Amino acid sequence: MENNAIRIPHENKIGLMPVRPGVFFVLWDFSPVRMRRIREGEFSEEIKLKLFNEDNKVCFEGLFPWNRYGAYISHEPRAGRYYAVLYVEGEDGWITLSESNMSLSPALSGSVNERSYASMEFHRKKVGT
Amino acid sequence: MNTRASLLFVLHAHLPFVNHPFDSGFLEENWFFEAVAETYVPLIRMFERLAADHIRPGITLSISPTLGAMLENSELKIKLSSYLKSRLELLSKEKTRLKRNRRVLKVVAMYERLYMDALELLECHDGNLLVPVRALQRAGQIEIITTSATHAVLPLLIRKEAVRAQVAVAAGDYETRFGRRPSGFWLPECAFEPGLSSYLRMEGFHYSFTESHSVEGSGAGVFSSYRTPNGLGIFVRDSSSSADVWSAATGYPGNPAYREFYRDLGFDAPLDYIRPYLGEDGTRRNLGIKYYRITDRTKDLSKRDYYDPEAAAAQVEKDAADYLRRRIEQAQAAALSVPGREPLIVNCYDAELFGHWWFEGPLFLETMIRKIRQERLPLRFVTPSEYNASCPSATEIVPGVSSWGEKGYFEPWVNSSNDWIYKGICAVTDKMVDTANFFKTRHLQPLQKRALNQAAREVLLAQSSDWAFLLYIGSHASYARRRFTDHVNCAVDLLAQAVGGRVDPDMLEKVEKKDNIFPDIDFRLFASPMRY
Repeated sequence: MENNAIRIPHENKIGLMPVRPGVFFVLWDFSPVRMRRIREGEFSEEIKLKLFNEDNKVCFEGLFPWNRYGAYISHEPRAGRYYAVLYVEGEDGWITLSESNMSLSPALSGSVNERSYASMEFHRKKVGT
Repeated sequence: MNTRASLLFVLHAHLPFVNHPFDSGFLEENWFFEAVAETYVPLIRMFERLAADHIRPGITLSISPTLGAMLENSELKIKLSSYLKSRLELLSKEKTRLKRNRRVLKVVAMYERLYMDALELLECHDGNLLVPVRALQRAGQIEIITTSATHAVLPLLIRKEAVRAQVAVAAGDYETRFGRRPSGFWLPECAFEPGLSSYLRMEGFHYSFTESHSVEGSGAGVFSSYRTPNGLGIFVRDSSSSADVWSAATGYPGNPAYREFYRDLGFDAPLDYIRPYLGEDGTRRNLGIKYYRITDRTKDLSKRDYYDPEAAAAQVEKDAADYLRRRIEQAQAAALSVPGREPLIVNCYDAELFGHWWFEGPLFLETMIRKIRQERLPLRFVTPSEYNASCPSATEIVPGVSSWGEKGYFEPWVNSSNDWIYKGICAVTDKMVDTANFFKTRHLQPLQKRALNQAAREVLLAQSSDWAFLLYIGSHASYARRRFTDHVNCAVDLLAQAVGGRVDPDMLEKVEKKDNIFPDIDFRLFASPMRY
C-alpha cells in the first residue's frame, strides 16, 4: 500500500533490491515532466522492465503499469550481480529511460529453513493470540 | 578427554530512536523503560556481580547508536525515573489489594526489587546507564561493539553513499560515547553482502558477524573464525546453539515454569484502578507487571497458574546445565572438523530477549557462566578481539548474501506490507546525496549548515529497519508509518529550505530538539567519493 502522505521529489529512476534467491524488488519513479507526457499519451501506460546479469544476458522481461511504485520480479535463482533497465514506449518503439544499481542476488541455501528466528516467533505468538 | 571450546556470546541491544520531548505518556517510549528495567539493568548487575566474584563474563555487547543516544538523553532519563517510581507506587497498592494472596505477593515483592534495583543503579550514575557499561569495558569484563547508525539493513540501501554514512556515523558515535574507536560491527539483522566489508574496513572495523548459511556454499564450517580478502574478521553464528534459546517451540524460554510474557496486569486489573498508570488516552496497555507462568501453552491465556520465582530459578539451573552439556558435545564433534584448533561456538541474540521477553534470561546467563567456573567445564567465554588475537591465521572466505531474519534473506523487510517505504528512502537519499555533493565545498550560512545536518539525521532515521519490521508484524504499524513519513517529509523540507537559502529557524529548532541524535554529524558524509 503506497503512502500518499509522503512528499518526495519525483525523478526518473529505478532501483533494484534483493529479496531472496531468484527474487528482486524493483522500484521506479518518473519526473513530473515524464508523468505528464505519459498521462497525455505521448508514451504508453505500460513500462517494460528487463533484468540483466553481469554478462548482460536478459534474465527477466515484463510489462507493468507505469503508475505502480514497484514490482517483484523473478529469475533463475543463481547468485550473482544483476541490474534492471526501465523502458517506455513512444511512437518510435521502446526507449531506455533508466538503469538501476547493480544488486547481488543471494545463493540458495539448503539449511536456511532449519534456523530459528526468535524475535519473529515471539512476535508471531503475540499477533496470533 | 573433553575438548576445550570457546563460546563467543553476542548480545545485540537495540531500540529504534523514540524521543517525544513535547509529549508525555507516549506508548512507544515504554519500549525503552521496559527494556531498561527488565534487560539492561539486570544484565549490568549480573556483569558486576560476576566481576566482583572474579569471574570475567567475557560477553560481547552490541549497543546501537540509537539506544546509546536514548540512554544518555536527559529528558528520557527524567521520564524513566518517573516510570520506575510509578511502577513502585502501583506495586505498593498491589500489596494492599492482594494482601490475602501469598503466592502473588511473592511475585509483587520480586517486581519491587526489580524496579528498586533499576532506580538505585540509575541514581548511582546520574541516570546514565552507559557509565557502568563503560567501566565494565575499561576493566576488560566485556567488549562493546556498535551497529549501523540507525539500524538500517545495509544490503537494502541502494545508494552506497548511504551505506558509508550509516557506517561512518556509527563509528564516530561510538568514539564519542566510549572514548575509543570500535573494533566490531554488528550488521543489523546479521544482513551481509560482500561489498559491505570495504565500508567496514574503511572505518577501521576489525570484525563482524554473519548467519550460518552465509558460508554454506564455501564448504566452511561455523566453528572457526574467518577473514574476508580485505582483512575483515568474520564470525559465523551457530544456528543449533542459537535454536536452543531462540526457538519458541523447543527453546528454553517456553518452559511452563517461566514467566508468561503475554499476561499483563494492564489487561487483568480493573480499569479504574490502573487508569493512573495508563497513557493519556486511558486505554489498556501492558504495564510490565506479570503474575503468571507459561503453565501450558496449548491453553488459553486465561488458564495460567501464578508465577513461582523459586521454581523458575530451579528450572534455570537445569536449562543452563543442559545448554552447556550440549555445547561440550558440539565441541567434541566440531574438533574433528577443525583439527589443531579450539572449536569456536558463536551465539548471537537480541539482548532484549534476556529479561524483557525471557524474564529468566539474565539468570540463565549468570548461571551458565558460573557453572563453567564451578564445575571446571572445558568451555571458556571469549570476546572476538581475544579470539582473533589467539588465532591470527583465519582462513580467507567471502560469505554469501544472507540475514538472520525469517527465511534467511530480506523478506521481513521487503514485502507487500512495507515495500512502499523504499521509494521514499530512495528518493530522499538521492536528494540528500545530490545536495551534499552540491554544498560540500561551498561556504554555508550557519542556519543552512544546521538544516543540512538535521536533514542528514532525518534521512538516517528514515532508513531504520524498525519501521519496515513493525509494518510487517502489524505491531505499532500506525506509529511506524507516521515516524517514517515524518522523517522523509522533514528531510525533504529541510533540504529544500537549505537549497533555497530560506531556512525556517523555528521549524529547524523544533526538529533539532525532537530528533536530537548524532549531535556532531556532518552532512558531507553523504557526499559521493571523489572520482579521479
